[in-house]
Amino acid sequence: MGIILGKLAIAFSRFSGRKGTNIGGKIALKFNKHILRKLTANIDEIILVSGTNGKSTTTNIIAQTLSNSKASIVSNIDGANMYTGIVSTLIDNYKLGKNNHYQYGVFEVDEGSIPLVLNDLDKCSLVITNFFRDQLDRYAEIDIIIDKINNAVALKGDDIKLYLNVDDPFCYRLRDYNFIGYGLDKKIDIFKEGTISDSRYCAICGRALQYSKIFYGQLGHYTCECGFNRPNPKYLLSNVSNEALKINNTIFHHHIMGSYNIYNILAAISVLKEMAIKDEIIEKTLVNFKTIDGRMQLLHLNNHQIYLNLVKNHAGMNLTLQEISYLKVNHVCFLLNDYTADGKDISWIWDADFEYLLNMDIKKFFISGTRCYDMALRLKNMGIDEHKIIVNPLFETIIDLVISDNAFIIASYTALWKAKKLLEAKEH
Amino acid sequence: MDYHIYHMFPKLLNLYGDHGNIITLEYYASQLGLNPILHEIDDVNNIDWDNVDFMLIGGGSDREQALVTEQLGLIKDKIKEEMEKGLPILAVCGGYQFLGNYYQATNGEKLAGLGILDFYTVGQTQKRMIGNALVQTQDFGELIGFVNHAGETFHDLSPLGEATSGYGNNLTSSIEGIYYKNMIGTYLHGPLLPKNPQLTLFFIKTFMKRKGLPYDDSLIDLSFENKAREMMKQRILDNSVNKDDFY
Repeated sequence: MGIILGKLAIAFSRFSGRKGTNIGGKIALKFNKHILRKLTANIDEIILVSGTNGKSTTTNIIAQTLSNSKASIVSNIDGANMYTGIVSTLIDNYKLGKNNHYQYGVFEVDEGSIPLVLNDLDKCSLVITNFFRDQLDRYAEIDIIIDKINNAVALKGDDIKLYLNVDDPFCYRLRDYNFIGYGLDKKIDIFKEGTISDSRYCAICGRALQYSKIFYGQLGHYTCECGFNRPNPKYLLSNVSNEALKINNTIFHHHIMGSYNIYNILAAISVLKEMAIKDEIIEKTLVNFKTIDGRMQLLHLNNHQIYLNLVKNHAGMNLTLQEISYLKVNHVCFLLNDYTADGKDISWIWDADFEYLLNMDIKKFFISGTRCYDMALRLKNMGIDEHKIIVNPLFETIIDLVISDNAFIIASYTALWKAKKLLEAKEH
Repeated sequence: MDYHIYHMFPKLLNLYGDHGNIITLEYYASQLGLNPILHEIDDVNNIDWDNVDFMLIGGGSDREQALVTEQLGLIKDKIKEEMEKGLPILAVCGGYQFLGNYYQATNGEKLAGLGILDFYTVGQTQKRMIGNALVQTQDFGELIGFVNHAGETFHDLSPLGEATSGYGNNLTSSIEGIYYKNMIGTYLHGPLLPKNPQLTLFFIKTFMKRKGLPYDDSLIDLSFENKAREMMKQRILDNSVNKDDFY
């Protein structure tokens, strides 16, 4: 009953022009609080991907590779990652009267939904990418969210296998469980370190962690007097060159833009290798990887290159600003909204290192969104000439101005969909 | 003229973009002809008390805050002395709670504060106070910010203002913050200073007055600030920022 009504709600929501990514799940849940258990009953193996940044890309690499290995899979690749979103995805794919069997379910999961989702699954793997401050208006503090995940994982006992980014001391706090580690070799040198870190202090004893190498934020090679030391990971990324990377003793070619994606590729490969997927299939997927919309998406408009990238927090912003410095763009555009899905607290813009922009040759900055003037103040107060900053709350106006030259557009979550629609309409 | 800005424990007390207060203060100070010098303090022995012109104490997570208490305890008498003499201080959220006598954790344990002012904070798990806030003040007009805390603060001291929208010091009263001498203690993040230029200018004006320097802010262009305030205030009053929205 719940499943049928859920399917109807999704159809109706789409008919009325919305994305329909949560509504089906919300309705179905009214009929069965543990409907996820029923919907996943015939999935042989479930892989969850969570963490602050990189969830979507990691999920997509895993899902696309498994698809290419001819397995039957179901995945929320549209990014609806709350409990209700995952339920909606499954309902949408549900074929009435069939057994709905899949070899694999690969799901991106919002950090806050992990306890609920784990509670409804018997066995699964959980990949954690990293933890950065993000949407603290929903989660209060990173420590609180990690404690909740820790408790939920503890309840699963031997029924859960973790994949942890051991370079992140926050992730490594989950070390007490059955886990596979992945991380970067000390000599990897492709990140700017950045100024603000969430916490480089030991979660166990409170002392400052000793770093022999910092990649970015709190990610690096750390030790602590109390013994909280980064372990050697099972999957070590030891070399990066343009479009290739070496993991343990294997070289993988890829065509995925954005240097920060090496962590996502590494996480995905760790999972796929553990599942005994052949290297050729992994590499073929990486080379033909279809970028998710709005993740370093490149559009061509009137002979100009327009990049579009989703940014949700200061860590993602720092990495994106670093990408911009490698490109030839004259315009940089920020679309900053503060709806629920964006996070109502936009204070993180002051934690990001926009100061990088002072050393780039950007001709003009364009800003829109519900918090456009907050963003304008961020740029102005760090010393960017006010006359170079063009602000307008109307997206349409700003987008028209931005695309008159090579441009990089950075958008918050809800702004991304709007910008994408406007840009793609112009592309055709 | 050098303007010495002290940011206390920026690596630990750095939640919710409080560093934006420093960026903003530095910018305005430069606009007013001062030479801002930032001191990021992670060891209290590195404070040159004769040359402290402004002090920011921000908030951290509970875990990080506990790490700082001991260090700040070493200089509590000095902070109090300077505060009484009129040092401009901004203490936000956890930094604000620090100034009081104690923070009572949810298990009943009392964590000692600095005891610089006579007030206290009680942690609770019933409801975290989160959201945009408008605070009406007598001295600085309307302040706009964002709060995110679980501790309820109680005091009979002179408040900063009254929250006309959103949360104040605790769940039962709309009174917000403390305003004592030139010290402002508040729960308002945002960060606070970028969208409340009247406060930024107050801190700098106070410094210049203490140094006997002439002060004139008539050339400061506040057009972005004013538009940011207008837009945000409207969103808060429409209540559109507190609803779940379709897009």
